[in-house]
Amino acid sequence: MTVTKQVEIIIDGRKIRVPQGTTILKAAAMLEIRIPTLCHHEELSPSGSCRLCIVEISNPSQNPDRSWIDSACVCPASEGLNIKTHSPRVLKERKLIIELLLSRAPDSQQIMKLALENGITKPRFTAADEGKSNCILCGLCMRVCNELIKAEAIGFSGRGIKKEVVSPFKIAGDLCIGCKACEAVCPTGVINFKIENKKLRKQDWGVALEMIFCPDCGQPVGTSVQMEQLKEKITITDELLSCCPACRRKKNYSVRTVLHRTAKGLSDVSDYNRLTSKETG
Amino acid sequence: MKLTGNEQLVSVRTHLTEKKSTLRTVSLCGGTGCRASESEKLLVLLRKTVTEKNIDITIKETGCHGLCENGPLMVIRPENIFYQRIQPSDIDEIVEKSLKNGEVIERLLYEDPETGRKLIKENDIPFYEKQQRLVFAQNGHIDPKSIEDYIITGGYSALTRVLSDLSPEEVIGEVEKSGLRGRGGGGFPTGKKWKSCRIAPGSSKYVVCNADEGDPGAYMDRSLLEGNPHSVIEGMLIGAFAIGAREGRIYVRAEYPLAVENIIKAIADARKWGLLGEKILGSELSFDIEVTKGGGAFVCGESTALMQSLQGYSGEPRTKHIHTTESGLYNLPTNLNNVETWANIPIIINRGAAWFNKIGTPGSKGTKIFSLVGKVRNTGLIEVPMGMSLREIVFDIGGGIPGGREFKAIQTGGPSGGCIPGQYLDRSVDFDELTSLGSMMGSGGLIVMDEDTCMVEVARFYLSFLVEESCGKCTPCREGLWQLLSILTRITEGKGKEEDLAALEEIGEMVKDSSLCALGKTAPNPVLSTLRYFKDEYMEHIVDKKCSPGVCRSLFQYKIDNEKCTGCMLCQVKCPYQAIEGRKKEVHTIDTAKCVKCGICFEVCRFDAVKKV
Ligand SMILES: Cc1cc2nc3c(=O)[nH]c(=O)nc-3n(C[C@H](O)[C@H](O)[C@H](O)COP(=O)(O)O)c2cc1C
Ligand code: SF4
Ligand code: FES
Repeated sequence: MTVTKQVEIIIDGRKIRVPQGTTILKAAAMLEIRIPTLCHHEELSPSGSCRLCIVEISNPSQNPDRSWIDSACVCPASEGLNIKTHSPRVLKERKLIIELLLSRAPDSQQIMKLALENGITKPRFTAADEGKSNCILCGLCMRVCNELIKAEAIGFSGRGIKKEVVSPFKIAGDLCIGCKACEAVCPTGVINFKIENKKLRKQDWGVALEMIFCPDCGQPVGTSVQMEQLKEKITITDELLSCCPACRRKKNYSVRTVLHRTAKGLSDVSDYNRLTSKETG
Repeated sequence: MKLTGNEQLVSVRTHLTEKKSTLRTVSLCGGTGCRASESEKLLVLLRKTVTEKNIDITIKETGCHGLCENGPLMVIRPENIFYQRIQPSDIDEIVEKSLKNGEVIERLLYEDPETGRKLIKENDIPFYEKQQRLVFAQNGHIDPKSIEDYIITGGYSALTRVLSDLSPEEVIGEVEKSGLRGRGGGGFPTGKKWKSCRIAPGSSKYVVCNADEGDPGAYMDRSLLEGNPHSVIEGMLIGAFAIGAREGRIYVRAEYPLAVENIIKAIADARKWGLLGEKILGSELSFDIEVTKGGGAFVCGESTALMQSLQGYSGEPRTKHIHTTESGLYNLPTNLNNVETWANIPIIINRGAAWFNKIGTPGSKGTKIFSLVGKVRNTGLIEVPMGMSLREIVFDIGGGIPGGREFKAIQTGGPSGGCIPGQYLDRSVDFDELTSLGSMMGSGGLIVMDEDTCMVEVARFYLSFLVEESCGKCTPCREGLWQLLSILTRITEGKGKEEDLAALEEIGEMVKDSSLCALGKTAPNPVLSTLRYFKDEYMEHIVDKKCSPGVCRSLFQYKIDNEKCTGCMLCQVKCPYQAIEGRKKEVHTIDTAKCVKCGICFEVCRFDAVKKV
């Protein structure tokens, strides 16, 4: 086995040794230094796109006069880096990035909170779509759908300010299984599935999926496609599967024990459950 | 014929040279510029006439000569007679007098605007005099569709030298010593890139040629692929040998059909001759090249986006903490170089790194091809040694500004370059010097601007291009550029506020610092450089609500000068909106309510009576 080299870096004046390649975000977390993030998710591939996590970096042993800006969530630690997470330059640029994000998602609680924390009271800018989309294009929804759920039901289309998240060709909602993982990870809360006429719907993606309701309490449990997929992954009786988690527990049955017994697709299902925790409890 | 060894290539070259050297040739330029002035028609006519009159001469269609402004161009050899602006009606006379009897037709020669002298040879023309044509040396001489032509001029001799005399490390050493830096924009040292790709672990490796050329108005890479495709192939072969790659890719804009056609033909010929494929020239080197046509998005020229696009995904850059030389195409070590970079390689191997290293400045070696356009007499493609001053380029090669206007700025580096004002005209073309002036070398676009240019509008124009081309992945570039554009638009419409200047600077600096890829990191250049050098012009727009050059339509009105108007009625007749009133021989007036400021009256008035106020 190859041993990863340890490197020493300085974050906000504090030294830390980490394996080479550890992201600056992770290294900072070890020192309990909080760097704000939006497009980053531990379980998903890195994106480095929102740029909220920018930090100022220099390498004094190579060039003491030069420093540059990079995103902490993707930039790997290498020997001798000196990182400032709250330098005046970082704070100024981060604030402006938040202002720009706010112009895109003026109705988002989380972005508004970020803005307030950073001293933005009145937005200076209007986005190209006047903030109608409320989407900051962080790509979390797409990545969770592609990488964990593996449904590949949504993706980006267009370029620049015309970029948007769509279902393939903007019509075929049939890849969507209705797991709502995208809704759970969306930082602006703009993804909203609705249950209407016993179907789970998201009109702009062309989604209308049959819902299963708990036979005991009548609560919605999940879509029938989702249930079919779950059945393939875990050992569970049809009766239990159709129950909502609360009623399942009442029947003294924990999904988690089943999960741990099932080797096949273990990580998928546990991730899946955690990410869809809003729904399945 | 499949060549199986170096000696065979040498003897074939000797044989071809003997056979062809006695022949007279007439080359007609078939480059982009000349084709636009219908050179293809001329070629058909020339072929027909020569056959009819039964004249023993080889007719060639070559790549771009550079002086596109004066096309279509023709050179008759061995006399080296250079004709320009040829019309179909000239062909008969050319064939009869020049091709048959070697006579010179005065009318078709280039006339030096300074001295009025008629010049016979291409090299006597001032446009060419100060150029140093290395990479472009054979453009205009060889038929790009003929591998024989390339071989006669010494083509593939650098490859044979590498295969017989040098180790991969020695080749990389030569390229490093030459000081060659990438011509695609970044200016990264080529030898260093090759080395890191060579030492990167990987079961297989790629060399890739970047012919995306998404920079509007630039056509140097296009002209190289069209005019001398084998020089790019030879460069890639040498790179493949040095790096240890078996597969090559050329990513070329689909909008360049002739470049695609010529490079595909060249690859097929090279395969037939045993210069691509298995065991090239009997050596251990096996290498082949595939051509991929790209959609031509500007961002697809960025290295990581280009590789995404080559793999069939949409071209979106990724962060470059892991270099593409380690993990690029299909996650394998990949060495990407620009067309012109590749074409420099055979020259370096043939002439030696020491020779190459003498050309240029301490930090930038060799020559650079530029497309010189805008308000300059001689527009076209030029190749100059690094270190030449901007003044020499604009005034000696370019022949200065036409129409007695004043020079205002030169925009370098493509859409995300900057504008350099007159006080820096004596600075030289050099990667680091241009960057220090707030611009960049980029791919080599040079746009000359005269006093009639509005610099705020220039910034707005480039930003509108960049907003369209931003991939939209990261916040600073996607949103920041849009805000810059909105502010600039406001200013050009006369709705600017003084605090806008601070906002432009603040956003520009942030986008430059925090964007994910080099598109965003350079995109604020047009704004920041014009703010740096032409702040007064911004202030004029904001405070006085005026645009002195008379470009921003919201900020001026057309008015007829009572003193100068003769009442000729021409403007009145031409105005498409019937906005001009006045009887014959009486002073006319423009009804501002009807005027849409199309500027037609301004253009047609022969008495300079229409003014912008
Ligand atoms: C937005 C953008 C567009 C680019 N377009 C091109 C291009 O059209 N052609 C090119 O050779 N390089 C282009 N580049 C530079 C490439 O990313 C890369 O640096 C270059 O191809 C490497 O080759 P070189 O080292 O020979 O210059 C572009 C870079 C950016 C950021
Ligand atoms: S800088 Fe612009 S082009 Fe580059 S990744 Fe960001 S949005 Fe895309
Ligand atoms: S969290 Fe790092 S760029 Fe978005």
